[in-house]
Amino acid sequence: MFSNYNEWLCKTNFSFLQGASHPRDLIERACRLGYQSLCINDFDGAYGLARCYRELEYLKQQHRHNGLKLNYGAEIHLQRDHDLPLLLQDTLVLIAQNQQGYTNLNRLLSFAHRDGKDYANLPLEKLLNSSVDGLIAIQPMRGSIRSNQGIDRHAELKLLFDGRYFLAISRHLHPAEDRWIKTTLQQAADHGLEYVLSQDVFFHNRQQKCVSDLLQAIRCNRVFDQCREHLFPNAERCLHRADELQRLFSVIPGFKAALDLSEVLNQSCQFNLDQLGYQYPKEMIPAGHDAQSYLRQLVARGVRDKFGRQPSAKILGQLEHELSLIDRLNFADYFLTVWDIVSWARKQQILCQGRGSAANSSVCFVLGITSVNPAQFELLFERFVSMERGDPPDIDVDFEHERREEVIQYIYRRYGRERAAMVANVVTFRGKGALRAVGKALGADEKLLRQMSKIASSRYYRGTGTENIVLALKNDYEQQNPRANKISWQLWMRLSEKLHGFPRHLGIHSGGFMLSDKPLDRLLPQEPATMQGRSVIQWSKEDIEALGFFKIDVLSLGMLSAIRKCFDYVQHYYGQSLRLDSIPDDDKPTYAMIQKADTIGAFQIESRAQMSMLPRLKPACFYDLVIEVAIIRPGPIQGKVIHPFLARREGLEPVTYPDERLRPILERTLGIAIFQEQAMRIAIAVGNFSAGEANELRKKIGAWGIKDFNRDLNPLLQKLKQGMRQNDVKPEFAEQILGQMEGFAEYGFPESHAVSFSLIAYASCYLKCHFPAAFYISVLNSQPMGFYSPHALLQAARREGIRLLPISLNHSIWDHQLEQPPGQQSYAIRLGFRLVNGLAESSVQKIIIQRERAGGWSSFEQFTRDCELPRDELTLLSASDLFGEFGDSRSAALWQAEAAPYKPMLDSIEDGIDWRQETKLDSIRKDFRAFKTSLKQHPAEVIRREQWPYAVAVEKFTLSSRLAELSADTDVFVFGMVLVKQSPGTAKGMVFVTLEDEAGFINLAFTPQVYARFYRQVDQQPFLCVVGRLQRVNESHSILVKRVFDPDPNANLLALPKSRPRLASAISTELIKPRAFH
Amino acid sequence: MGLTTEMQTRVIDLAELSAQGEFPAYAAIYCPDSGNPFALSPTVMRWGEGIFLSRLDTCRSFWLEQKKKLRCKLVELFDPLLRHHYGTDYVAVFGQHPWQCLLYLDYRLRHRTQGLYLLQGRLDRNIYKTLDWECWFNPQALLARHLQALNIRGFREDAFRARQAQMRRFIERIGVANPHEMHAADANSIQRRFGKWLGMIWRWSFTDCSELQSFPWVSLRQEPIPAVKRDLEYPVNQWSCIEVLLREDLERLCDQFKHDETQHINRMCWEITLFNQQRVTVDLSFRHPYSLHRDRPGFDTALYQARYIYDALMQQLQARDSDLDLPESMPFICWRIEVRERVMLAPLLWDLFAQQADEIDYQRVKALQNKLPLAFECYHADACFFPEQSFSAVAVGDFQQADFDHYPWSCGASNKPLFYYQSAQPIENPGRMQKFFLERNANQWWLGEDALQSIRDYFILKDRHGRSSWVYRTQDGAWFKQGEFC
Repeated sequence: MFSNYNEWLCKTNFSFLQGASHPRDLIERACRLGYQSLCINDFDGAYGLARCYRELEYLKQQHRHNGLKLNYGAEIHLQRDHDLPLLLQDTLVLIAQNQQGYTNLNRLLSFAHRDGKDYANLPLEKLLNSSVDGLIAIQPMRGSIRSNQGIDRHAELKLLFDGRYFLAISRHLHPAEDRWIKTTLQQAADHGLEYVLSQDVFFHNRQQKCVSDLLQAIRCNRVFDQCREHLFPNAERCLHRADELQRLFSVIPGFKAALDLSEVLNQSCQFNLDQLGYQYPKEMIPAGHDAQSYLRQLVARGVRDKFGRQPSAKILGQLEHELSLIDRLNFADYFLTVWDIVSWARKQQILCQGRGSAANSSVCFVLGITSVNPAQFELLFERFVSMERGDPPDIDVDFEHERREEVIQYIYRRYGRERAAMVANVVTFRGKGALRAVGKALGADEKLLRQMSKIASSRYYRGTGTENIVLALKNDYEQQNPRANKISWQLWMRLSEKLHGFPRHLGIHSGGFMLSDKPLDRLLPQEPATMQGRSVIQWSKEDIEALGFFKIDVLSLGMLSAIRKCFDYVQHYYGQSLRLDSIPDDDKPTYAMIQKADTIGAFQIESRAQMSMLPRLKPACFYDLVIEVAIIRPGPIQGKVIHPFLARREGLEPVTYPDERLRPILERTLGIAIFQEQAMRIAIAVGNFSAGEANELRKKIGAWGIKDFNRDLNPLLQKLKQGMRQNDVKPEFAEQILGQMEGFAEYGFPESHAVSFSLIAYASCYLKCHFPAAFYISVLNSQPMGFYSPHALLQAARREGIRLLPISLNHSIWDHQLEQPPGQQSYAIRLGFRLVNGLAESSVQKIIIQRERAGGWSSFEQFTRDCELPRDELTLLSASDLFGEFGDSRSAALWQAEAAPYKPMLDSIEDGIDWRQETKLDSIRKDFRAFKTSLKQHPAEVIRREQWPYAVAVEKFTLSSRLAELSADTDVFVFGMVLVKQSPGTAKGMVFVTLEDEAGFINLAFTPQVYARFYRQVDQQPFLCVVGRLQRVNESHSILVKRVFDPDPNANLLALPKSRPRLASAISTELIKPRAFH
Repeated sequence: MGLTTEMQTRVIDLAELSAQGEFPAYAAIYCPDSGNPFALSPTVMRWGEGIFLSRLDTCRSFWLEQKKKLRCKLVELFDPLLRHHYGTDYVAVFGQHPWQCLLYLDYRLRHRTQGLYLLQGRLDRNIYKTLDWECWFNPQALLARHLQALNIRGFREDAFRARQAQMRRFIERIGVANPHEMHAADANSIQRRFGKWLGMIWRWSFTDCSELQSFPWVSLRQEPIPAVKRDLEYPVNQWSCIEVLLREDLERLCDQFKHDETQHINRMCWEITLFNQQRVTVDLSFRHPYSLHRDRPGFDTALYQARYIYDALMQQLQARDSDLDLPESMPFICWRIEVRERVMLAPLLWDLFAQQADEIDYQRVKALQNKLPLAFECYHADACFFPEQSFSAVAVGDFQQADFDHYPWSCGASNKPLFYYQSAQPIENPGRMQKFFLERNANQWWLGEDALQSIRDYFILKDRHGRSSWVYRTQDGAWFKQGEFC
């Protein structure tokens, strides 16, 4: 009787902080237990529906679904009572019977979110006046039943749902919960309502009870003991076996009729997510055209623009091939939509470029969506769109980061809020966040949590797993507090691991847009995003891809802003007009610069790893640059192909192929697989993979976010391994390819993506090579972006011979600009006010207007008389030592600035204070605090010359510029300011630190053992003094650190006084600010 | 590590004072345990937890006189006194301005040094100049609280905090290591920049020791010991007369308190002065929670004790003085009744026998209460899933109806037994004995390591004699008896 059980109330963990099981666990257990159907109804949204659909589809593929059917619904709050214990919240479950019901459900859910993301609710009056065709309603044995509110509304709801309104009866083996059974039965009898049986599931098995309690504690922001009214009394709200169900429910009067009713209802629910019909918007298609004909027309026009009147037959053939495929797959609308957005951006002078697999498409190239001609690089269109897959294409377009919001708002205007919304991003609990949340629930105090954060943030422990972090915390804690209360470290560890990957809340995707020709409510609900002016759908990128919906990625790229600005500066200062497509190919000086690794500030090839590779790879043409961009990635690194590739390139190793069948695939990369596509094609050629399977592999590898390696990837990799063995591929090569696949899963580039990025990388290098001053100010004026802080960029510019002029009240504007000092030919960089921490642009505009009126100033009094700035702004200028220009010391100016609102009183003579003169180091520190850098001596130089606090003789130390003169494998002492710290996952625990002294960069490498010994110094000290073994390959160097020296604790030179601890970190955080590109 | 073990004792010789001819006007004293705040002066302010300020200039002559009389140095006078009142862990700073004393006290507390310090002394004066900004800012938190509490005109705590933040920012930017580096700045300059109150604090701290304007001094009131005194118009030794007068005095003593149920007089001292000026002191006490107020109007308990003492006293006196030509017994000429012990107490007994306090059968309460070793209790619903922990004892007066909607699981209490074991008793598997399932519980798993281990199934177990026990089974199959039904 219970073997074909239908469960009607089930929450996944997409009922944020309320459901305690992943959709996968729920679906798998329901299948295993042989349930006939499971209805998913998360609170106030359709958040988990697509996930559950995907999981069931996966199990169907594995033939493990056991006939389970999914029903789709949501539980909506009827009041704003979300902070009450779960059992007291007034809610109603709505379940879609058909497409109409699903649409109605989405409308109601969207309405419930009318006031924002939180506290979604649907007042009963609104529900009673809404269309509920195709919906059934179930009142859980919670909320209104307990407060007796249900009695009043049973009749109304029964009428509204036309007999499709039911009560649910649950039994949880606890008098507190089960006492409501009698009430529910009574109400059913009084109002002539039928009831269904339900376990009212919040987790899939009893073991998850602790996670359920944990989530409640997190939701209430309390410790367990203080939120007991929010916890379930026992672990019975899970999926039970048939025999357990029999024991539970056979005591309920009328249970047979209830089971029969469930059966009937299940039959009546005929809706499935795969029935959703999706169409792309069509408004950009002019009258007289359909999507395909208009696309053809645009492509023809594009061909003329790109290739002139006589394009090659190859191009035309390729375009025809692509157009026919697009036609057969009915994708023309999608291309037109992207073209429409890109065209609009171009009209607004917003620089943009498509990237990713779209660069495989000649159609995208001629439409101007991408800048890569696939024919030139033999890129395959099928990598982008294929008949066999039929998957929707995914076009990512980068826009200038400072102007992307204009594009987003254009899309909202063009298609309307009801048809356009951004894609969601599910924010999950990860490492430190999970540890912190669990610690709080267990009652750890703030001090302990801070200590945990510190340990978890340390590179030594980063990525090492929860267990190591908790053990380190335990050791520290027990050493410091021998008599402290016992803390349940095991529990902390175990719960954090369980919480890992649980959805925390819904965020917004970096740029994904979903557009539809019909209102989105037909497909899924949407809600306002936290960010002003944006709305977001309730599903993530993976969800909509699984259902075959299209999305366009409107991404932002800082370098595009910088390049556009640089074009403007070149036009303004040098009188030359440049465009992306007018930059000459194969410019020799540019490649010479790249080969010398002078690439600070350039796109993609500026990181330490890239810079150390450049002198070895010596890129001499564009494709070399493509390889350079793609090769320093986890894929090739884990595949251990870098050294063989370099050896082959330098002629030290012959170019061979592991199998002749692979020659066409690997020929361009000297027999080595570097790109994702090559790995896929190898899988087809010698791994017995079909194109579909290879694509599956590509999708699994390409998906970002948490991957279940064993479930998602391992079976495919095992198949590949087996296939290669069967095809007699050398075992070493097979291992290499498998390693590479695992690396690609971390982060890897497809060739088309690398080509797109290389175009921008080359453009940035060209500008840096020929217009360095303009290039540096464009990068600085586009901050935040790139890998290096403004300080590092300015130091690099200075080392390249560009003169830097300080921020000046009489000369500077908001942005950095170029200035020709009297009597000099070359331009110098005049720093702009944007460097000053906390200064508002509007205040700077006031200064500039007043300056134009006054013609400049020569004293503090003059300035303050003309510019009535708020005191805070005036103190910011003083702290930046800008009044030094008028002869006032920083301290004196600050003292005066603080009295600025009392200017009339200052007319009376005030006793001056004899301010202590700043030491050089003090002055540099204050500069850093005020405007992120200093134009004075390099701090490392000052310390070395004047205030050396280490026990090692300063004469032993080598400057960065002299490292090249030393022979490899000698021990060197170096000292410098910490600029960048990196510990890439592929480096097996190695930590790389870049120091800077007055002459340049010093690259340090720490083995895991050395780092373990010195990690506190490396993580906390803003300057490092080390000795290590010099290693050199070509022009690049690295020092394998043996020992880190501690400064004299009494010298107190490097760290600032203890009374001002915040300052101590100011320099380090300011300088160590690499911005990794994603 | 505790304060006591880390502190280094240091006492400054106050002889320095005489040399300079200066007597400290204020003292800031920290004592970790409560002590008599009025040890040095009747003018005292409670500044914060364990910290109070004593104003010494008002009793300067007294202390100088004491010094002269005892022929000792001031240090020999003050240090033992402070030790006596506050123990060895005290820290005291003597100075001319209360704020300066507080600043230096904060410094000393942070450095965990104990003893007596004098701000006029050369060493401490020099150390005072090195106080860092944290020492200067820290005590301002309590100062702000006092100013706010006094509702001083023009003072707003949020504005004051904003000014503090502004000044901190300034200091960070300018890089001044300690306040003394800026000593050349006068208070007016500080006031212009950072507001009136920081200017005022600056003045208190550095420029003018005589400036006390706006210092939020609130003198601590010395609470008089409640007592009644009776001077008899003629000597009395007849109990019948004494009883009437004593009842009257007890009534007066009761009247000195407003009818406040939170204060119970539990012990009094009856100090009798006899005809020969001899003083006899006896205790009149009540067993908590019974008290003097409950003894009204007859004061039976108190008078019974008094009578007993009177009889004993009379016998003792008669035996001693039998050979003297004295009146029949030594008559009383006056007495004083002083309250010695008061207990802060919530109402306990009012609801015990009746809903309304008026209906209390005082005689029964009196009779009962004085026989019981403990106060009466009742039980209150708690937020706990474990049935045995779902109720806790509270005083009768604190009882409130259990809110089952708020703690829904407590409603299962109807199935709870009358008698609980202090801890559950392991029993053998009851096998086929008659069992009735009650509930399944999972509670406070976070106190152990395994959530599943905290799940228990509760049953009523009936033995063959028809006796019912309350038992539970854990997930690993172990059985425990938790209580017995009647």
